[in-house]
Amino acid sequence: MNMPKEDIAKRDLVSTAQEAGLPVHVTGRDLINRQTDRNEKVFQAFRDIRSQIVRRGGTKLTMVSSVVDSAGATFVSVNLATTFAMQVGSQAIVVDCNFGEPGVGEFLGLENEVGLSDYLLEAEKPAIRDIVQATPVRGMLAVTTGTVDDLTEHITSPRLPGFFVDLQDAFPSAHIIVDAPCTKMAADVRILSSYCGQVILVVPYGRATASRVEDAKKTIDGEKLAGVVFNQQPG
Amino acid sequence: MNPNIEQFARTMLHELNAKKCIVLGVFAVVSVIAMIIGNSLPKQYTSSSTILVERRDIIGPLMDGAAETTDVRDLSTIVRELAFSRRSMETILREGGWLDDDPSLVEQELLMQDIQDATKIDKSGSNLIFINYKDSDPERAYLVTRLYTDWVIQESAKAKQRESERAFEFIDKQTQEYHQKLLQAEEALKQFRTENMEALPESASEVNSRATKLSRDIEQVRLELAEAEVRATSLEAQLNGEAEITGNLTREAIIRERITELQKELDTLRLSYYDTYPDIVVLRGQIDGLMEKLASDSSNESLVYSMPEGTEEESSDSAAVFSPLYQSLRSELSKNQTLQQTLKTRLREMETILQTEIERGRRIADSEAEQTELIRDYEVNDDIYQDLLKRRERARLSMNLSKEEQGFAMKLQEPPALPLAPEGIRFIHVVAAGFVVGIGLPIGLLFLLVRFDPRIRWERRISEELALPVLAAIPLMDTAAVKRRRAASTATFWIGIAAVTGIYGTVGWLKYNGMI
Repeated sequence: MNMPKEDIAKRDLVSTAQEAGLPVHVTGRDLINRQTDRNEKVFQAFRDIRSQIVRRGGTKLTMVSSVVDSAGATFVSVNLATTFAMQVGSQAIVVDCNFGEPGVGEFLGLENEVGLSDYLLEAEKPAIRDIVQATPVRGMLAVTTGTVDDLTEHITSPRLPGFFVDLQDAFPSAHIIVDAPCTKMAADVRILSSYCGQVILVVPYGRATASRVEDAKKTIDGEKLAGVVFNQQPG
Repeated sequence: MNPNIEQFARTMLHELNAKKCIVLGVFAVVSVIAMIIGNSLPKQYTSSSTILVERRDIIGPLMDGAAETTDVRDLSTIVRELAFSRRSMETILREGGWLDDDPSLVEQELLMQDIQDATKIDKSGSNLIFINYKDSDPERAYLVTRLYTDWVIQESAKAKQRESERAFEFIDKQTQEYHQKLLQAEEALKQFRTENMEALPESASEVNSRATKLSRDIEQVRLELAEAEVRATSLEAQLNGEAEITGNLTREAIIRERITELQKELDTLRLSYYDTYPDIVVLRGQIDGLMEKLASDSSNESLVYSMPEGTEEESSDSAAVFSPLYQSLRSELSKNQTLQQTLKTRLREMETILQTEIERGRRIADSEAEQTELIRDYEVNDDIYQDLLKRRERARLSMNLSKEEQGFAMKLQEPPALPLAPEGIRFIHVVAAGFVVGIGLPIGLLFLLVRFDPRIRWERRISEELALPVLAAIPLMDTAAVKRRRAASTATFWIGIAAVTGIYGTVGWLKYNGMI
């Protein structure tokens, strides 16, 4: 059949979403697909990351943070989750904890009416299933930030640890990728990392000095630091 | 950690591509600035002429090295003095149109200074002079150079003329001076000869021979006198009855005695004078004469003046007095006395004459020295005079030659030309430089960026310097956004290229048509 790629994805999406009973949205962004050589390399890179994470043998919670703003942490987290989801029989959930600059929802073209903030702050705590959304990628789910109020601190919310527990209970086999703020927000990063098994630092090409990376290194517990993803490297 | 060359180059290319619009922008700005600068450059036109210098001194060859001319001043200095002289500069100011604005005297001075500053006068080798003048107006450049050249050649011809005239005057004066000296010497010689009439070269030997003859005669006379005296003595002795007197008075002895005397005298004189001295010559003549006599007399028997024996027995006085022998003796004696007198007188006269001759001889010797001196003086002056006459003619010839400008000091080797193209840095040079800088500058800046920017551009820095494991390096993805950005950037870039090309083309066309 000569169906365009997007339609194929949509079909997958629909079937997944219908299974999960979740709302369905179509993406406008390109995700990794193996159509071009360049993207093949990217795909392989993510597979490498995936296998190194797995080999590490920590919990299924991985945090992705960046050393500077807009380094591509969202890109890395979403695509890493995609890579996990592409494994047959695997599931992945990407959680957007970057309340300062939420990007996951936009990246995947998802609605942001209901998200993590609702869980953390609403008087009446919604169910996990209510905030988890299906994505165009088969086997991958996402939790957006929800409506964010600048003044309120989310990460220090006492409900956060419970959220991760509930999430893991609901999806026990899923790999959870947390899209964290950049390491400038040292406190937030530390808190989030405490819930995760490993941390990935995203260093973008040509935008981060060595000293910044050093500082980032100090912020994160050495044991949990899985490594660095060097992003946007020119060919 | 330092990247290797390949990594560095790849990063450079990436940056170049990523920032190509900025690079182009810098290039465009630099180009435009270069064009503006190049356009506003003052155009300078240079006109130049070459002068050949043939002979630089006049006196030298005429004096044949006697007067040394040293090239104390540089040839180009001389030409510069000529070219920058007051009259020359005034002519230039006037002809060049600088006086049209009616500038004040101070301004005129400044203008002259400016013109001189824009003029270069150099020598090349020992024979060529270059005159160079720079101006913003090509016609004026040509005009001024021509004025300089004409002036220099004209003035140097005049100078040469003056010099050869001076040279001629100098030699002429010298000739006249020596002519005077020559006349004086001639006069002195004539005077001298007149005063010393007998001072003829031959008289010296004449005098000598006369003196010699005289001295011989004197000796002869002396000899005869001595003879007579002896005879007188013996006669007296005989008369007095002293017959014992037998003296072996030989003539030979007398002669020998005299020779010894003369020899002594000769030796004394020889201490003070040369053998050619008249007194000495005379003495030697005398000695020689006596020696001859000695030789001739030796063949004769020696005359012994001996008294006849028996006369000592003569006792009676008066009886003997009146004997015929006594009478004859007596008359002989008186004859002898007379003879002696005569001889003595003759001797005195002759000695006087001899003295005179000797005196004369001395005078001749003295004056001969003086005459030689005068003759030498005359001859030397004559030589110089003859020489000067020749030189004067040569100087005259040279002066006439230069009058007709057959022989010249400076000749125009290459006339000045009207400059068609400006000198030095021109519009095209500046624009070309701008082009190069426009490319080089941004690339250079990018190089500095890649080299010295502390931000991480290479994976190895993370793994080595920071000791963090790199899980993966994600290459830049061809996402739609990236593609869009790239397309926009490329489009801008090519529009920029077109714009810059358009600018270059337009400016080039305008320049070519002389519109700017």
